[in-house]
Amino acid sequence: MMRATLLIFVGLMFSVSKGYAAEQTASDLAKMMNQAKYSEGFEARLNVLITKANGAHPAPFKLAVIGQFNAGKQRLVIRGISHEEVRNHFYAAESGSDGRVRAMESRSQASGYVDFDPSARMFNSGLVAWDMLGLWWGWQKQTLEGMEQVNGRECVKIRSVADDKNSVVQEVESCVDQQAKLSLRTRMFDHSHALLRTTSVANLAHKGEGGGMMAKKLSIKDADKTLAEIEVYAGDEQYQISAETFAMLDSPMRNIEREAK
Amino acid sequence: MSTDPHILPNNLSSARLPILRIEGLTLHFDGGQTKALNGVDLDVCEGEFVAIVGASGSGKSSLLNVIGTLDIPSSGELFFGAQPYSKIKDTSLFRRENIGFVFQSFNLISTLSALDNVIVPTIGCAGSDHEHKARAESLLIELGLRERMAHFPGKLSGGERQRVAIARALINRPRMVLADEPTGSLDSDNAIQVLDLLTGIVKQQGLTLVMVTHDASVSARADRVVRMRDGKIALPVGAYGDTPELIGGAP
Amino acid sequence: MNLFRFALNNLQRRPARTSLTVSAIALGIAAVVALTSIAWGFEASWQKANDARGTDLIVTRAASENTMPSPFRAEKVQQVLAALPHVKEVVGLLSEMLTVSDDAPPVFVFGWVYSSYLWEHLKLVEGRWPNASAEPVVVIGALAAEMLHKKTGDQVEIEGKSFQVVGIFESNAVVENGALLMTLEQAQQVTDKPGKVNVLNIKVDANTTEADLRNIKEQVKMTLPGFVAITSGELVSQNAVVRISKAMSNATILIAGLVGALVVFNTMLMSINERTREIGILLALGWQRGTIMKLVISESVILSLLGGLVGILVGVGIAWGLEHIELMRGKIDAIFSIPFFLEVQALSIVLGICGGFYPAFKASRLLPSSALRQE
Ligand SMILES: Nc1ncnc2c1ncn2[C@@H]1O[C@H](COP(=O)(O)OP(=O)(O)OP(=O)(O)O)[C@@H](O)[C@H]1O
Ligand SMILES: [Mg+2]
Repeated sequence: MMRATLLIFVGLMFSVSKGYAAEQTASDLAKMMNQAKYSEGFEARLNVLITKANGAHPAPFKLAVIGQFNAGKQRLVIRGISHEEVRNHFYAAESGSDGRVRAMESRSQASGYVDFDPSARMFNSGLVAWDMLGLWWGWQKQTLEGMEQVNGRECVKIRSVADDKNSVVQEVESCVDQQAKLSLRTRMFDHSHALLRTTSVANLAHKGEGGGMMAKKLSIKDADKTLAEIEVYAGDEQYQISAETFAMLDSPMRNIEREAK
Repeated sequence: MSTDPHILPNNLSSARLPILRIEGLTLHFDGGQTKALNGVDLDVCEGEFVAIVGASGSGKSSLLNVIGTLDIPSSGELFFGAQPYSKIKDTSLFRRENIGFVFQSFNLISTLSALDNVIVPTIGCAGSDHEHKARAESLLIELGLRERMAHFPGKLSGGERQRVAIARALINRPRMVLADEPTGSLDSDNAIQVLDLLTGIVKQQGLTLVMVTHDASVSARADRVVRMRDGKIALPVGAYGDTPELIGGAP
Repeated sequence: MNLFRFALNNLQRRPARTSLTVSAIALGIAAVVALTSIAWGFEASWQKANDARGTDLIVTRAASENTMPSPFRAEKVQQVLAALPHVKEVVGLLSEMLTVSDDAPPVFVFGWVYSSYLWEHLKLVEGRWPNASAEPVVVIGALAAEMLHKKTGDQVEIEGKSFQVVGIFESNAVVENGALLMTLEQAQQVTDKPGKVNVLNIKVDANTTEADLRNIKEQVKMTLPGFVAITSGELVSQNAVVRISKAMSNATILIAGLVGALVVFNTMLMSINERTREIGILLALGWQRGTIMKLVISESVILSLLGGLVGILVGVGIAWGLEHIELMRGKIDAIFSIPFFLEVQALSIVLGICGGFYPAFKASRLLPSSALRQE
C-alpha cells in the first residue's frame, strides 16, 4: 500500500510548498516526493474492502496508520480497529538513513511483538509495510518517462531502480501528479520484471491546509488479482506522537526475539 | 318602427351629413403592381343600407376592409362623421365603438358556445361580465336563437351560424355594420331569413349597413346599390335609378 | 366569458400539447423544489444544531473546507478565548463521521465536554445521561436509534471499542437526532485525538452587543493565527456541502427557468401561428392589441402556473421520498414553507411571462386584413 500511505502522507505534508519548475529532472521530482512524505506525525483511518481473485469479499475492516517521517527516520504503526479478527493486531515498521527496513507484528496484546517481513502482505491484503515507507524516492537511479493520463489527470511517469540488488522490489514505476504531489498510479516490479502490485488513486480530496491533495480512495491490485479498495474515512494531519506510539520499535525485545529465531 | 324618424329617401340624403365619406381612395398591393382600389369616391348616409356589387376581384372586399380600418389606404382620405381616418390613433378602439363585421364564412370560434362567441368582442371592454352576457342573450333571442345559445358552432346550421355572427357584430352597439357576402354560404331560404333579420335590426336601430353581395335579390332590398369595376365605382347611381335587371346583368 | 376563461378554452383545444408543456415545466419546477428545499433544509438543520446549543461564536481552524473542521489541540486556544471580554464559557467539541454498523450508513459521532451547556438543549426520551466524563457510554439520537436498531442497554461498537447505549435523546436538529453522543474525553480516546477538538464553542454573557461579538472575532484573528471565530450561521454557510447544495439548487433554478421559458415560448409561438386567422377576427371585432397580448400572456402564465403547481407537488414528493430512503435518513430535512411555494409560483409566473412575451407581441402586431386572409 505504498502509494496508499504516500498519498495520505502527501496529504499530510506541509513542506515543499514551492511549485514544480517546468524543467525538472528525475532526481528533483524524486526529491520532491521524498520530502512530501515528511510529517511530525499523522494518523489516517482506513476502511479496507478486499475482493479476492474468485470474487469473494471477506468482511471489510478498519485500520489506523500512524506515522512519523523525517530525513533520518521513518516509522509506522498499523493498528487493526475492527472487526474482531484484526482488533489489537499491530504491525510496526521503520527504516533508518541506512535504508534498512525492519518490521514486526503483534497478533494480540498478550503475545508481544515478533519479527515480520516488511515485504509481506499485512491483514491478508495488498497492504505492505515496505510500500508505505516510500523508500524508492531515496534511490539513486531515477528516470523520467514522459507524461501520461491516469483517470483523466495528467501525470509524469518516473521509474526508480533499486540500489540494493537484494530488495524484493527492484523497480517502481510511478505516475506523479506534480501539483498534488501525489503518485496517481504506482507499479512495483521484482528482479525478473514481474509486476507485483499496482496502486491507483481513485479519488482525491483537498487537504485541510497547504493546498495539496490527498488520496481519499485508492486501490491496490496484487499479482494474484486480489483487490484492496481503501477509503480514508478519518484522519489527523497533526497527530500527537507520544512516547508509547513507537515504543515497540525501541524495545530490546525485538532483538531478543530475532536472536532466538 | 324606426328609432330615427328622419329616415328619408336616398335622393334627399344630401340634406344630411354623410356618416361615411370616401375621397380618392386607393389601395395598392405588391409595391403598386396590384391596384385593389384605384380612386374610390363614395358617401354613405347615416341609417342607409348600401349594397356593393361587382365582379370577383373588382375590389369590394378591399373597400370594406379599408372602411373597417382593417387595411390602411395607400392614398385618399375617409371620414367617419367629421373624423378623418388618418387622424384615428387607436383603430381597434374605433372598430370596437363604431364597426360591426359580418363575414361570408361566419368565422365563429369553434370551441366556444354560440353565447360565448357573441360575448368575445366585449372582452377587454368596460362593463361587467354579467351585463355583457345579458346583452348577448337578448340579441340571440332577438335573432331567434333562444334554444341554440349553448350550442357549439359545429352543431348549428349555416343560417344559425350567420345569425350568431350577426349578434356578435352588434354586441358592442356599432354605428355601422360591414357585411362581406353574409348570405354567400347560405341556401336561398336561409339567405332570405338572415337578410330579413339583419336588415330588420339595422333599420330598427338606425344603423348604417354596407353589404357586399353577388345576390341580386339581396341588393334589390338595399337603399342604394354601388357597382365596382377594376377598383373604381362604376355606376354611382342611387337605388332608385337601378333596376334589379341591371344589377343582375352580366358586368 | 372573460379573458381568463377564453385563455383556458384556448389551452383546452390542444389537450395533448398543453399537458406536454405543463409536464415539461412541472419537471423543471419539481427539480427546483426538491433541490432547493433540501439545500435549505440542510443549512437550516446545521444552523439549528448550532443555535440550539446556545453557542454564540465558534472557533475553528482557518481554511477548513471539509464538512468538519480539522482537529486541533484545545488547551492553549481555550485559555486565550476564555480571557477575552464577555466570554462566559468555552466548550470543546469533537465530531467524526463514522460507520458503526455494517448495515447502516456512516453516522455522526459527537464528543461534548461532560456537563457543559451543550447538553442542555437535548431532551432525554429514554435512559439517562453519562454519569462521568470517563464513563465509556453513549447516548444516541432518536433517529440514530431507529436507523441502527439500538435501544437503551444495547452495545454499539465505535472504532473497535464497545460502548453501552445508556439513553436516547431528541433534538430539534436532524443532524443531532441522527448522531451518537459521548463525552469529549471518550470521543478523544476512541478517535485517538487526546486533547483535540474540531470546534470550540463560545457562549457570551447576556449584555454582549453585536459590536462586542465583532470585537471578539477581531481579537481571535489577531491573537490566534490560523484560527477564525465565526457565528454558527457563517460556519454553516462556509460549509462546502451547504455551499455546493446551494449552488446546485441555484443552477437548477436557472436551468429550469430557462428551459421552462423556452418550452412556453415554443408552445405559444406554435399556438399563435395556428391561430393567425382567429387573431385577425378578434382584431376585426375590435379587440385592442393590448387585449391580444394579455390573452397570449394569460395562456402562457396559465401553462406555467399549472406546471408550477404540479411541479411543487412532484418536487415535495421527490424530497419526501429522498428523506425516507434508508441511505439518506437523518441527513436531509427538506424545508417547505408557504413563502417558498409562493416564490416558486412567482418563478413560474416569471418564466411564463418571459416565454410568452415574444409570441404575444408577435400576435398583437398582426395586420388584421392579412391575418384574416390566412386559411
Ligand atoms: N393582400 C393582397 N395582396 C395582393 N393582392 C390583393 C390583396 N388583397 C386583394 N388583392 C387583390 O386586389 C384585388 C381586389 O380584391 P378583393 O378581394 O377586394 O376583390 P373582391 O371584389 O372582394 O372579389 P370577390 O368577389 O372574389 O371576393 C384582387 O385582384 C386581389 O387579387
Ligand atoms: Mg371579396
